Amino acid sequence: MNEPVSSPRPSRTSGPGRVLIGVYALFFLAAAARAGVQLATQFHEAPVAYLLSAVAALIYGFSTFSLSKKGPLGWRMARIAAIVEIVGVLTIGTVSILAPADFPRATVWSYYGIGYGLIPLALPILALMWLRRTREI
Amino acid sequence: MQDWLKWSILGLGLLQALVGYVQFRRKQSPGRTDLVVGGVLTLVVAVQLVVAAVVLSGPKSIGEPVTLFGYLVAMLFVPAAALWWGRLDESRWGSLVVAISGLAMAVLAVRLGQIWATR
Repeated sequence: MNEPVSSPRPSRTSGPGRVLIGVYALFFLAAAARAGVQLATQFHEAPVAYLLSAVAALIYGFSTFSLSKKGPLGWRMARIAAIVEIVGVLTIGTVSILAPADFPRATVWSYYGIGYGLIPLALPILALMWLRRTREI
Repeated sequence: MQDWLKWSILGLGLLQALVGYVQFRRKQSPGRTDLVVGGVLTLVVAVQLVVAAVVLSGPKSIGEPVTLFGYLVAMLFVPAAALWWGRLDESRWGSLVVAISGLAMAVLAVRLGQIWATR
């Protein structure tokens, strides 16, 4: 069954989606660079915090890739990435407030990403909203 | 860090953000002005990169040189990457991409100043 053509769905990679992918790419770059430098030079000081930065970088990279990937598979991957992100930022944000001693060094997601203007918290929400508008499955 | 270089990057980044935002509001796609501002911005970052390399090879120490050069190299490509990505989209949203990249450059300029001053 074909859906009615009266309401054309916006393309996932253009318009606001282009802005979203751009910001994700920027965060991938920032988190990856930060994690790389920290893992190389200060890993022994707070291994868990730095590993979390690296994990965040991986997820941002995965989000950038899957949001740009056309087709239902890209859509599914992008949704999984956004859900993992929102769970991650809420969990790490809460733990960093409840047990700051375990986070001697800030990660991208500490305090819900306040060091990055709370953008890490906003990004997955915006991504999920955009994925809803461009639903492909 | 040379103050005039930091303020130049900061100012040009904010200018790029303003130009992009005005175009976004006017429903225009990125144009010539964005290219010129982005080009000058990249040039200033390149000058800063050379200055940092010269200072670092001398007796004076800079805080966290690895991070500093990481920032500078990334900043060298952000304006061009944003212009390329933004201009692929022939709509107002391309201008918003450019605007956000300008804001990011301004933030990076501030962080760069802090890293330079770290001892």
